[in-house]
Amino acid sequence: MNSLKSRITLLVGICLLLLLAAQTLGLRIIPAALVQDYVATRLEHDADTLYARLLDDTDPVNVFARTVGIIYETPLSGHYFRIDTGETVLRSRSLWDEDLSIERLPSGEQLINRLPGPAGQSLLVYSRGYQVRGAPVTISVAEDVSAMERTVARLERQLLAVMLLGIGLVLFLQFLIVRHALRPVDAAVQACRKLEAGGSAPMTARAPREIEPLVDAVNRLIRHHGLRLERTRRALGNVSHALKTPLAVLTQVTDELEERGDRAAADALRPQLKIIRNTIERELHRARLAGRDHPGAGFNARAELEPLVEALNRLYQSRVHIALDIQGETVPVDSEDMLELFGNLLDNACKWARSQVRVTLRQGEGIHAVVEDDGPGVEEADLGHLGQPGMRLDEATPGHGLGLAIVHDVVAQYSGEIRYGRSLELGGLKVEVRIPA
Amino acid sequence: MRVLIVEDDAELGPRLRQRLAREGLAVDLAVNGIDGRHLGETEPYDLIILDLGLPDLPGLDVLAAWRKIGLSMPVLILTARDGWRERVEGLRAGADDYLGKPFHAEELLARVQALLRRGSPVRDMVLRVGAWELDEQRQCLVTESGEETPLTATEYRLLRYFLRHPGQVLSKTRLSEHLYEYESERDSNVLEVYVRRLRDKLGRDLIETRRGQGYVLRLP
Repeated sequence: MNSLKSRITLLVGICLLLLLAAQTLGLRIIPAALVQDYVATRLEHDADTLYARLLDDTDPVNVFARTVGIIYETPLSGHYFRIDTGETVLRSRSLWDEDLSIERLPSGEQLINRLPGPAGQSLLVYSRGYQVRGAPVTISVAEDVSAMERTVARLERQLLAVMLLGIGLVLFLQFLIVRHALRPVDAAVQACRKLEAGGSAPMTARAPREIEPLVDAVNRLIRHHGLRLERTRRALGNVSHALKTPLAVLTQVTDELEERGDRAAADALRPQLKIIRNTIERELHRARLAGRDHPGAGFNARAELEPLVEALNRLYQSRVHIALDIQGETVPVDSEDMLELFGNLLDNACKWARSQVRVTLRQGEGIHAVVEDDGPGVEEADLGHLGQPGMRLDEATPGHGLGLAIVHDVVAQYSGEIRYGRSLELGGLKVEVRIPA
Repeated sequence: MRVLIVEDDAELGPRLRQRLAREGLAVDLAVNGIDGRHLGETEPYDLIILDLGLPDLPGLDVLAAWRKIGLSMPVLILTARDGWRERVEGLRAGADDYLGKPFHAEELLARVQALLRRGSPVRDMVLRVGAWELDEQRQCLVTESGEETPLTATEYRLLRYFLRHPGQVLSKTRLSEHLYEYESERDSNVLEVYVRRLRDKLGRDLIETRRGQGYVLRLP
């Protein structure tokens, strides 16, 4: 149970259920006790009255019965009394020919108990032992409480139903409240996820006072992260650029050493220089790669590739005809990354082509591009080596052998796919690139 | 052939200049954009090597300024910023080639030679004159049988320029402009001496004198 929402819901739910249980218990005990107390007090008064009449008079039963109340005269009225003098048992007329089985009590003792009465009645019986002219007398007075009990039970059920409904409503409300209160947390989590993926989207959701510091902190973190990313990129770029010119000088010096006859020194320097150069080149390009979460305005293949072809035409003096076949919409990927990808692919194709390069590009759900040339192509066995940094299959063609490695970096950045093969129509190398949406 | 290097790095510029001079090229060096632009506008260069990251005036602006006034000499961009965005911009602004730093001297030289050939009326890889072939690596004349005739640096420069522009009347001024650096003393009488020496080595009729106009190389 690691969810804040579930935990709060559970706690509140348990509290409410405990409260409900206590209330139910109270509802069961309190009304019954109240009824019993109330009835018992009245029965006690009636018993005392009967006792007083017994002391005053030795008349037969019916004489003092009337003085207690007409209700004891009416048959099965629900109000009964019984006087046990030891010799005789006097019963109220209302009992008709029924009797109540009541033990004799010693003088001064009293007992309240429940007995089943006539006609299915449920009786509350008050009995007490008295002393009348030296003889022990037990007076019992009873009242039917079944109607009262039924009323109490109905009331209880109704209250319970209302309370259950209330608790359901409260649980639902508290779920809504918790969810609403925790919404800024969700926004913070979302923003952090975006951040993790390289994006930067400061949160704008209004947050409660308790959560506002968290939102502020996350926003600050996001800004800080963005700034740091930018700083890192710029620093890396600057370092690379600052190193490149001195490196060019060192390369020159090495060439001069060799020309002056110091071959050994030149041979020792060259591999090191090559490592430095390749590392700088590759890392600079990597640092430039933005990745999926900086789409900017998106990549408009037609607007980007036509100038590229124009530039390549100038570079290769239109020796190679580049045919562009582009269809589809602008795709939300970084245009610099894509220009880097297609620049290297097309440059490579132009280097090898005899006279033709063909680019077939489909946009929409991602990018699917095929670049073919009519050059010599690459042997089946060597296809696997393409795109490995520093790997060049031909040392005579100018270039650092990094072009395809950079293409691979871009493709990897976008979790894309690259496949090499032979062009069926043009006969040269065919490169197929897929960038998922 | 005359080349201008516009490069602000105090080490790289002079070294490049030295290296290209050894190839028999007359090389000028400008260490900032404003001087570079001015030299490019006033001197008849056969090739310009342009760095884009100049301190005062961006290389691209310099290039755009040249192209705007109709200068069409080949321009090779040499820069540390070699992303494709910059390449496309540079090439569309009128550059003819693009080389990222750092680079191998051979790669730069190959591109320089290619651009120089491209800018000349004769674009052959190998220059021939009579029975001789001009060996651009060793800067001498070689016959098919392997017989070598040595050339001095100035003789080589002069002959190469003639061979790249055969049949054209080349004035002394034009020749000296394309053979000598900006700072060097240009004495057109010296040119006459070199022309005479070439005639001694290659034959009388090869280079014709047009009085008051200049010289013409006559290829058979």
